[in-house]
Amino acid sequence: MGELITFLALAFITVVPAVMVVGSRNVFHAGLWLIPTLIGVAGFYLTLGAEFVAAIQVLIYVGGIMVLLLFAILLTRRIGDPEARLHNRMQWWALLFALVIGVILHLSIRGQFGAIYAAAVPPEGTTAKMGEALLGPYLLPFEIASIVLLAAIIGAIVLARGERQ
Amino acid sequence: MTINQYLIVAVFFFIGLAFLAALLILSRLIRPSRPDQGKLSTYECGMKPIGQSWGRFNIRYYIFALLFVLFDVEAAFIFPWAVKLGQLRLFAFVEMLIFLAILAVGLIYAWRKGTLEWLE
Repeated sequence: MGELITFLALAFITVVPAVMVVGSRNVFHAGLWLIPTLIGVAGFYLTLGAEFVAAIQVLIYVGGIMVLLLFAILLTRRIGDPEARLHNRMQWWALLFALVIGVILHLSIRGQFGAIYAAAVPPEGTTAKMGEALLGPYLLPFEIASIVLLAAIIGAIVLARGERQ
Repeated sequence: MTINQYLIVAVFFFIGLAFLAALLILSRLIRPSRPDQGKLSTYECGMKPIGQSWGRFNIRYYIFALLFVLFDVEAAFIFPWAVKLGQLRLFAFVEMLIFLAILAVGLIYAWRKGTLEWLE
């Protein structure tokens, strides 16, 4: 019962703002509506026993990516233009395709992993397990991740300098 | 059950929300309301705002936000490492040093290129 209530509450704070993201007339407000959606997803991670992923979701997506996204919106040329159109006449087609993709994803995930999820017990201490994996079998990907981040840093700086000149 | 551990968090959240709402409603009921133009301006004791708030931002803000996200991701890798450091000791320490050294190259690059300085 408690689980059902939690799930419904989290589904509400995830899905309703998600609908607002695509429905908002103002692109900046659409960006702001994404924040409760991402927090709701973090709540789902918590209920699945993945505390670390939930914390990272808030830290990186809500704290970092959202700031980046809102800055990117504020950099667009027509941000102050009330005439700028965000919508076209394809919303019913978009809704239909979103529903079809949702059903396909639901069926395939259920068919493939349903039995595993039903049997799984949330593991204790996921952070330690993740540390073990990062420093054990996934050591090389872990170090390569730093190179990917380095490439992103240098790329960002090069692009920004190009803009200024 | 995992959910029950977070029930107390939910309780705190809703108590906090109710407390805030109660205080705002209470103050609204008992305070006098005498607005004038000075009080209603964006910054009552500051500069007068010019133009709209929907202007375009300087790209430099974006670069700072981008660098923040990248180092945020770096921090995300440090947490699981820190939990395991007590057991793996020198090996884990050296591995993290390599990880941080590679990212430090990026920071030094940003520093040398003057990205961290605020030019008007």
